[in-house]
Amino acid sequence: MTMEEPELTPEERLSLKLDSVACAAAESFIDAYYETLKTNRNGIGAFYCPRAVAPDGVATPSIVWNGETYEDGDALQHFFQGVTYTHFQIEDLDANTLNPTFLPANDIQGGSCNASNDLERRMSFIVVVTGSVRLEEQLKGPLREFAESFVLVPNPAKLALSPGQTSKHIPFEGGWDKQWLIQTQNFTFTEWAQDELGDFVRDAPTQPVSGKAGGGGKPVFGRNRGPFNAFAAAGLLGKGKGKALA
Amino acid sequence: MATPTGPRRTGGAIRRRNRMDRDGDLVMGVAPKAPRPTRPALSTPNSASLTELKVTGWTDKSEVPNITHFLEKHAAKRSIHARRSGPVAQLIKKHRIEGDGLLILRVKPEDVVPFSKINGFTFTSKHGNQKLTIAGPGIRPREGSPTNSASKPTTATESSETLSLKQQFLQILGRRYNVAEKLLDLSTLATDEDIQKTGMFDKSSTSSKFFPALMAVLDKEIKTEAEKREAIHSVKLNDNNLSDLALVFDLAVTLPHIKNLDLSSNKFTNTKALGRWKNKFRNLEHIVITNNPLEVSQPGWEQELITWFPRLRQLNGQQVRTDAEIALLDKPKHTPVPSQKQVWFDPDKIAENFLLDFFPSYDSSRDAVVQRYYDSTSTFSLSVNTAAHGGSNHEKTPWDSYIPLSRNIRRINNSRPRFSRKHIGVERIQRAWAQLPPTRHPSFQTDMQKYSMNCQTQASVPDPTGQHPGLNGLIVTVHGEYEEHRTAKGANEIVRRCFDRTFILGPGGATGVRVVSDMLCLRAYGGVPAWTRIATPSTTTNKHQPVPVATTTTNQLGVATTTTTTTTTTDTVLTPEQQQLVLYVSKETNMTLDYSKLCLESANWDLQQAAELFTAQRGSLPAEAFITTI
Repeated sequence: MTMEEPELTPEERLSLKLDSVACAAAESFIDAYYETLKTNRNGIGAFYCPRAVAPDGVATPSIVWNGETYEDGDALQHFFQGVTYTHFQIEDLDANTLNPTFLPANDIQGGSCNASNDLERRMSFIVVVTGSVRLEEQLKGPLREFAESFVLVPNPAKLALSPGQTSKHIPFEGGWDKQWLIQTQNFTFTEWAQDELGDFVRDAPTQPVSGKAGGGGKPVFGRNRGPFNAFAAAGLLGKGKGKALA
Repeated sequence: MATPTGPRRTGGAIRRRNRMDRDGDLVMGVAPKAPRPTRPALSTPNSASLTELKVTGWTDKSEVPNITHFLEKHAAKRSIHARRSGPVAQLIKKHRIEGDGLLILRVKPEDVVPFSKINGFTFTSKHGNQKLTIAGPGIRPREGSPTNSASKPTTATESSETLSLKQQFLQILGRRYNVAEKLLDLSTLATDEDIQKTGMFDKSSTSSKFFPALMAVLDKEIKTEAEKREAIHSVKLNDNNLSDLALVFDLAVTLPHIKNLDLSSNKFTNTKALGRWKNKFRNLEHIVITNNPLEVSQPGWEQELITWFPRLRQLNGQQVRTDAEIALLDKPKHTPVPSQKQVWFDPDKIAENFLLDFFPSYDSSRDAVVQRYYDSTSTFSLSVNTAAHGGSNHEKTPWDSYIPLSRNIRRINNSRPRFSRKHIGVERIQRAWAQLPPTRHPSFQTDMQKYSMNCQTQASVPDPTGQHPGLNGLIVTVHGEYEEHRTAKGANEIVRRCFDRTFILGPGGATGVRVVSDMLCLRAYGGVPAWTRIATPSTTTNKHQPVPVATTTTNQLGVATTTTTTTTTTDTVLTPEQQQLVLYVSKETNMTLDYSKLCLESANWDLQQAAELFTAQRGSLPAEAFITTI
């Protein structure tokens, strides 16, 4: 580790700039998002880009929360209105720029309209979080571990440059202003809470797995592509275990 | 339920003991005001222009410095200068002791008012609590203070005055209350002749007390919350020239339950002016706020207002929430159970083939994987969650080999160090991976249950050729564990870690797939993965006694999320194997357990036949055959 930082190439300098904006935005976003989930569930829908279906049939936003898909932010909000207390605590956070030219240059009002400029306002970025989530009630409820990934895309209405604005700095100090909106989201619980387990213990990974012979050698991938592929995936279709069980 | 919030300042414990008449009681409004000391024309603070105040009620001469300090401190807080920033100049200019138990303070005439406010405060002396009485020009006498016995008769007239005022208030309320509509009409108050007769609108100092006093009378007249709730459903406050809630805030304290509120034809210029009522009227269903400046001066005000009142159905006569939405508020809340369902949208098997190759190759020859799937713009970053609180029984293996590479931006605060931990391009990724300890990921063939994976379409990933603003790609999230050969600090052991890895895949490269972004989060190994099915605690059973299911591969893949109570409906007639099959079919088809059982029974408990049967008949099944989520 040298103390002196190496000279950056122009590409690296740009990349650094975008990275620092993405990191600052990610921090601001994530604080606001989880706070809203805790205290103002009615405000969650506004974090998402409006539903749209591209000519190729790809629909955005793409929201998966605990194995369920939701059509848009309002649908997730509706779901969350029926959920008990949640308190999300972030333990690990990382962000990465995704597409620096997500928005056409002309979409930044007051911008330079130059294809290679204003990238820090035109980029989409990824946020990944792991942390713990307290459920049901403060302090006492079960505490699970979760992982969540987001892709955020710029919200041109909030990223316009006012005429004569010299500093292109995007302020996040005043809190999240939905400068970017959620386009993709995936939430997964990753660990059961201690008090939900009773005396259930995770089996040691070195322990030989019974039933290996039944599924052995068969590709078990893609078990969610259709309801019955999963039967095959488990080795239960055809001459597999299904008949043996019956 | 009335919360004691409001514009009134409540005194400290000492003050409350001695002054019982602060809370909107009418006494304050009509109490005879002592003449304000007139300010000298030239306020040169020579001793001649100072006012003398007599302090009695104390006993010990040696405590006089403490007493003057006590008075000075409390008076300074109440000085008009205290409102402005900065310290207040010494108020007590001089003091002397005269005879036994008489302290003379000399203060500027304009500073008499704060001393008047602290008249009767209790000083904690060595000899017990002592009530200090202040007397002098401009000091309002306190009730019950021995030196002011002469003023007692005025107190008596006060209370009769109060009584008659209360009568007037009750008349006003009675006249403005519509029994049939349960409506309290408080519109156009300023022009009401009866109210003008109270004299409270003559002076601004008392007009501000009119509304709180009215509410106080109402509070005393209708005792219980239930009675108030029953008696008053609607309140009209229209045409009152209100520009903020300073005067009428107390409505939310006295009548927090009302369903309809009319604020039309006032002077509210923005939602901020109404901000103190945010989240106050939890049962408000209809608000009218027409003919207020905010309608033009603050576009989008409706949206904000709607969020303040959870049960608001109508705003200015427009429906803003459906009954269904409001019914949801009263529905019992549920805690989501970790799902075993995984969303895998990968019609071309791109992500599937990538992952089948990626993890074994990452374990055996990382350089080759980078060559195969990463290019000059691909990025990799790693972040370590060293403080996982969720879950249980985490292994405490040190993270020393990972920390130098960890980009957890909750811990790395500056942009350069963050940037140097983001690895861009083949070479840098190879270099980073070379620093990571050797790993072995569980086999997809035999240990599938150790993973949870999702694959979704990701619109607008960058096009490496630059021809398009963006292409469709995939976002793949993989949660799981791996074994690591740890050699740091002379160790030589196999340890385990948990990971959450997010890939963004895009078209390109020799294999047709390139990794646009690869973000790896690491956690301590331990606990039980949330996608492992444990019998979920239902509300009726003891939540500390979940029954684990067998942990063979087959079972873990095959068992569905169903509450224990529903399983018991079938287990009276079915063998354990049949139960497993029912759960399995239910999970995969989303049919209810009863229909799954029917389906299997018709298929002679043969899964293949059951599958065919379901595919053939799914269109003709009734809606009740399927489990409805949410």
